[in-house]
Amino acid sequence: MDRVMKIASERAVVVFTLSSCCMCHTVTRLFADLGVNALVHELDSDPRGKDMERALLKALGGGRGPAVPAVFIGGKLVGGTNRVMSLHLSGELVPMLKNAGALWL
Amino acid sequence: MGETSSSSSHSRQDPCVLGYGFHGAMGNSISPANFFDQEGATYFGGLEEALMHHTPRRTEQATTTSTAHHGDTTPFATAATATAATATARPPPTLDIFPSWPMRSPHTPKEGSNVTADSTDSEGSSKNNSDHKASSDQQGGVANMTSQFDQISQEQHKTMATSSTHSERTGKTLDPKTIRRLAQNREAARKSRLRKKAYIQQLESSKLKLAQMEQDIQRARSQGLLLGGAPCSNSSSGAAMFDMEHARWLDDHGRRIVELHGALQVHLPDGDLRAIVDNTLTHYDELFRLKAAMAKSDVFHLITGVWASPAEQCFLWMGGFRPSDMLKTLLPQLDPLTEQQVIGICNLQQSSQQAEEALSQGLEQLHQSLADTMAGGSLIDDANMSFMGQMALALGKLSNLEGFVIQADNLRQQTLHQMHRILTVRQAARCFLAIGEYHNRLRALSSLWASRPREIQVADEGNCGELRMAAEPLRNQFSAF
Repeated sequence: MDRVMKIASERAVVVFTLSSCCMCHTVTRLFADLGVNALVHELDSDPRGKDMERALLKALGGGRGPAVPAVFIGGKLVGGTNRVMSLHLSGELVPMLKNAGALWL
Repeated sequence: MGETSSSSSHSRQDPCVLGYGFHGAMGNSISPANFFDQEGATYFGGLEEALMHHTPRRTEQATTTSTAHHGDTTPFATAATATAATATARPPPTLDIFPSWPMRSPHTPKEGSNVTADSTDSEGSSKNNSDHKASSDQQGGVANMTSQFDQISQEQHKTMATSSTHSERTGKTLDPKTIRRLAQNREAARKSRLRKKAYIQQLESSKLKLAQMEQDIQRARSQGLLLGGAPCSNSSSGAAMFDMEHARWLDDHGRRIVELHGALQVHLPDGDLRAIVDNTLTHYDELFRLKAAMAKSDVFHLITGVWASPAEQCFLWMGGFRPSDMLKTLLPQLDPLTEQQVIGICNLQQSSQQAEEALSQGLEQLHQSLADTMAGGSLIDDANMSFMGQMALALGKLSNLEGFVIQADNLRQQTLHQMHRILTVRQAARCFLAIGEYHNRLRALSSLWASRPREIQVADEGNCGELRMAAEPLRNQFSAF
């Protein structure tokens, strides 16, 4: 988890993904459309990817839900796809991104 | 079945029971198989002849035989008028099974109007009679006789009248008992033929009924209304359950729409109206819960949309309506709106559009990945080698699909909640009414489309006013007649 947090603070928006996950593509695509330059960290290319995946799963609330995509904004864990989508529709995502410095305008 | 217990052919009989629980007209004493065994192929030729000759003659027969014919399809019908005392004078039929000597009969021959009936009988069952005539031994006709005791007992008296005319025609000197027996056989054979005909007719009609039912099932299945309706049979029960639940939800929804409508009409106070509106929103939440459960069990069923009407399927996006499209439709319907509300709704529409686009892109990537997996290895040479491996890969990728449908439903749910938040109570009520009515119209469109008459298109292109359309179907429906 430490490694996760370390990477998560490297940029305003960090998304942990797996190459096999198509939903990850959705989330990264959304951020790109919003004009956000998110850091995409693929866990399968990370030697400690398995551990990180486990840690993320726990952080997201356990259960059988997918560990990825896991979105960090401003170094803080925001959630998975569901959370990000809901935030966006409620209009809260963009202010959050602005606050974290991921968006200017 | 008791009366035929002594018949050796009893064991060969198969019950004439058809799938829909009705028996052939054979009653329960004989099956057509019996006759097939007896008479073989020649019998059929005789049958056609007999039936052809027989039917026109029926009208000219005397009372006794005509009543006998009336009882054709109910072979055990009560005896005709000619029962009389002759029945009592006869020895019991059981003793006459294998008569090696002629039977004694005190009967007097009746009028000659029965000749016609008899002659047709003999023509029709020529093989039958020739068997009897050929030998005094009754083996050929025994099975016929033994399997139709009841007919014989009731009809002996009827056919006895024809005995004398028969001997006249053939020119042989047969004593009354033999004559009577032969006549009984003829009569029994005739009755059996008629029963068989009725049975065949029943078979034909039930065949038609079955074909029709299959058609209905096919149609209903295509609308996803029936058990086992999903093309993928291994999850058919889940799909069927969902279809049922969805139908129930639709019914419920219809009632709530009516309630909303009524509440708006009577200008219910906001407090009460709010309760109804909140209930409607909660009701939508139930739908999404239902769909989420279904996505986990059979995502194909959801995404192919067979549970929705065809017109809705046309606009289906990831297993439901497209939120940004819905908002676009709703905006003009909700006037008057404050500027803030308009901005809010426009932002919502834009956010939804972005989310939808992202989801669509993600799904597109899944499609591509699946396609690559399906085409993995060789599709032609050694296709079997890579089959299982690719299948395993594909199954893993497919599991992503449910995530997309769930996210799409989440978008829909969030859209509705956001609208509820942005709008006033009255506006929200009208919003839900609008959504309900829109989908209602799509469903109605599907029904109308499905039941439209096909020839209508040929007529005037430029003249498809509504009134004309309404008139045409009626006219074209009857044009076939």
